[in-house]
Amino acid sequence: MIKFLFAGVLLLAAGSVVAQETQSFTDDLGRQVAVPVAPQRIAALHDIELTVPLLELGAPVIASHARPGADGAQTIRSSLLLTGQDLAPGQIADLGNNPIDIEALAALEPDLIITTVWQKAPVEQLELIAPTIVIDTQSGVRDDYALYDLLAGITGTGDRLATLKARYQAQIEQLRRVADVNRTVSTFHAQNGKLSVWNPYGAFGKILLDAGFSFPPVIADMAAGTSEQLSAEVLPELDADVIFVSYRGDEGQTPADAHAELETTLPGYCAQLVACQQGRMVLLPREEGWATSYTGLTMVAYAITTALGSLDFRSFN
Amino acid sequence: MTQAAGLLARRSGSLMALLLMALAGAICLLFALHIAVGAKPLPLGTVIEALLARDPKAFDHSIIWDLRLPRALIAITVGAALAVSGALMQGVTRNPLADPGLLGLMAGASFAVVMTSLVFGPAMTNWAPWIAALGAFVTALAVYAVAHWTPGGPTPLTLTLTGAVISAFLAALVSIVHLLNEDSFDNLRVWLSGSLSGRSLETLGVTAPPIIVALLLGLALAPRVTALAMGDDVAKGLGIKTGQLKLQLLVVVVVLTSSAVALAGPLGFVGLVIPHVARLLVGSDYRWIVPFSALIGAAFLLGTDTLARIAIPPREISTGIITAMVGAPVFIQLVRMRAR
Repeated sequence: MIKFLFAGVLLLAAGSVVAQETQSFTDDLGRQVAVPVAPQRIAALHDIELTVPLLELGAPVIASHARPGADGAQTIRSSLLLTGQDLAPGQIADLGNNPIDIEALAALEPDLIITTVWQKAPVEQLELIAPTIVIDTQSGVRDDYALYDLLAGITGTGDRLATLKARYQAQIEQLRRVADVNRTVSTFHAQNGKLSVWNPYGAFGKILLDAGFSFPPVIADMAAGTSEQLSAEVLPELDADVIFVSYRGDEGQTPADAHAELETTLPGYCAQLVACQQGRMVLLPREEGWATSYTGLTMVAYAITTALGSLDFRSFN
Repeated sequence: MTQAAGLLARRSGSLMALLLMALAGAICLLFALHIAVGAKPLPLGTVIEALLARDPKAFDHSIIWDLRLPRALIAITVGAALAVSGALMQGVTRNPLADPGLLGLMAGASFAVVMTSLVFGPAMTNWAPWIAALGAFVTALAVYAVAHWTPGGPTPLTLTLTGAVISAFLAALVSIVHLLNEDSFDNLRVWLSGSLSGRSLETLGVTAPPIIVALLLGLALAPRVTALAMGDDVAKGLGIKTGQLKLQLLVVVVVLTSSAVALAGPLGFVGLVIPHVARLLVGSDYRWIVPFSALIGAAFLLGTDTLARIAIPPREISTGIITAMVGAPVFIQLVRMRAR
């Protein structure tokens, strides 16, 4: 009897191993990895770049890289705001920051580890725990949203991604209907006495570009995916029909802080920007628009649509 | 080191005074260059017009008055303060590698800013100058207190060692904060590298008076530093109360450094390199080393800050990066020259 029970347990254990059908995947380091077709226990080793997209795709993330939030407690940056999920015992475990805690990861027995070249935890150790895919999110191999295609392919969540894309496209169409896309727009913020400019400026820039707005040459001429710290002397070159300035809402900042930072950078800055003088400078919290997130795109697209629909352009026409 | 004669050491006082005036003239030229060039090219006529008759509505005039002029004045003030602070530190410790950071002042300033930013959030960044000054001052007191408790009391050696240990300890704590919270650190990265951008005349207005008083005190104490640099016994033989003098000098150094850090963050190399340039010119007499350091330091920081602003326009490089890039090879060359 005991022999039969023991054999049964072994058969069940073996069954759970062979049940996971695998597919071959070549990661950004050129490694061929056999990964489960439908992973059930994913460990994501970068919060904004991996965990948030995976949660949006509905993939089963059981552990994540995390970092201290504004209150000092560990958090998956931006996740609560964008996905409604954060670290939670028994649901998503905290793996620490960079490097993550390898022993904690091993104890969780993931069936797939997805990491980035930024994460310092050695790949040789990670792949002893579970199949490990390394994604290059730093050298511009693919744009931020192409990462979703990659992750959907790995996790078998293509249907969900198609839904997210359709929703975003509908929002862009709505923005085009509401606003005159022939107007120029500008996106930046002031920091440390300089003007921080990106091309594009997170979700803000992507939405405005996708809708068909144009940027001043000082932004448009920058290489895609790059950022610059510009002298305050070029502030007027950032003027446009509408200016979007962001502030760190996640760190307790308010629009007043964004104004104060601009004032520190260039006293009397508003007098140098026509958009500011005419009340067409829009201040938005940055966090929603900084993570690579379709939810973030939705939030920011709605905010931009609302703002552009509310601004007074009569002095223009 | 202190015995070596400078290139002009045997010249008369009047020649020295003449050279000081020439240096002051060079500062005027560099000052003019600093406000004439920048990320936005401005015709010379516009610069002069802005200086003579400011039009509050003209952006070009705003560039001169609100951006370049405050920054140039801050460069002069910080350059002079750090250079004199370094010269006095080298004299009082008889250590040619001494600089304002030796007493943990730079590390203390950085630690205070990083920790307050971590605890209270990035909103504290606006208070960074004052937090830095407080951090530098408290650290200097801590270094002095620890050195005081060691056998032999606060000698140049115990102060140097205590300063090095506390600096290393605070730097380690800053690294831990960096590891634990990269986001907070990102906000401070520019300030920690030493930068003159985004500082107003109001900040200068508050920090300049203590710097001026400390510079005057430094000049007044300079003759006795010459004796102190030859050793405590020599100084005592000349009737100098060495303990009292060292304490006065430390107060001057702390005020100069903490005020400079408040204005520009922990700028490196100025306090280390410039006193050596002055010593190379005028020898080991601190009556000349101190004023020459002040003027050369001011000129050096004006020049390097101009470079930081125009190297890759319209982008700006942190001034601290340029002072290190220029200061390091200059220092190596100085060492080679003195070794010959």
